[in-house]
Amino acid sequence: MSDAECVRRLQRGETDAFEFLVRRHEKTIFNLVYRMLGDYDEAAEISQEVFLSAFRAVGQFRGDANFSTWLYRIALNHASTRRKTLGIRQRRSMSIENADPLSDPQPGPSDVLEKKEIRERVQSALNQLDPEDAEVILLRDLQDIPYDEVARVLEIPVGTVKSRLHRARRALKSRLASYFCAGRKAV
Amino acid sequence: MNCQEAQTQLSEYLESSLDALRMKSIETHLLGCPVCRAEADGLADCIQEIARLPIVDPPMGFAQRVMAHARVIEVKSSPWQS
Repeated sequence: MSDAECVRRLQRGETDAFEFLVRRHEKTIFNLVYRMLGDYDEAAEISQEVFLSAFRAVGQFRGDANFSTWLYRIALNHASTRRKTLGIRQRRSMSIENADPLSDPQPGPSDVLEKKEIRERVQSALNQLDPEDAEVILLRDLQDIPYDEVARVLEIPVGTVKSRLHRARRALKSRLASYFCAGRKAV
Repeated sequence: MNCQEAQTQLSEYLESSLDALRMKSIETHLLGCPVCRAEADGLADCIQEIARLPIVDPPMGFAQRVMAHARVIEVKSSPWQS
């Protein structure tokens, strides 16, 4: 069943149709929120709020955008708001190791440590960015969403997405510069 | 092409989303400019590291919990229930 059909059924009062939408989008939304916040438990709470907000507001969804676009927008609004209230905590480096699966089948101890360090540094750098910079990076570089859809999610022109993304990547680079430089010297 | 012109287009260059002429101009500039080359390498590292972040599973039972809350909202908002 397509998202559009699920939404139509939901708007007719078939609550069970919502479960299709939750199951289809839970991973994407959870990961977007998780990377915005850098905290697994906060991400679980906020992701739940995102879906419940969508459930409450689905009567106002007119279908002129994809459901996923609308859901991303709700997710980023919630995550950015929570990010602001967490401001001081966000500046600390947060451990994400308990939540992150390791992609290699049997990594050695040094690989595990190196990957852990990289992820923590990248997440810490994301936490330090302005929310709108983090948003555009996560939509484009983590979720691999095309520019035109990023523009619809953020409700800005494609040209602004491009310039904001470039600015955001430069900001991220400046926060990771010493780490990357050290890595290159070591090679 | 000067450094400023090259650097403002580096993000799009790294995604190969510029037209062929501009791709070639930047490529030529980068071959002769270590400063812009370093900037391009740093941006490429950032793009790569974000893309490599692992996909994390939501907590077990996440969808069921959301649906349980949704059904409570549904009951509360149904006029025939009040």
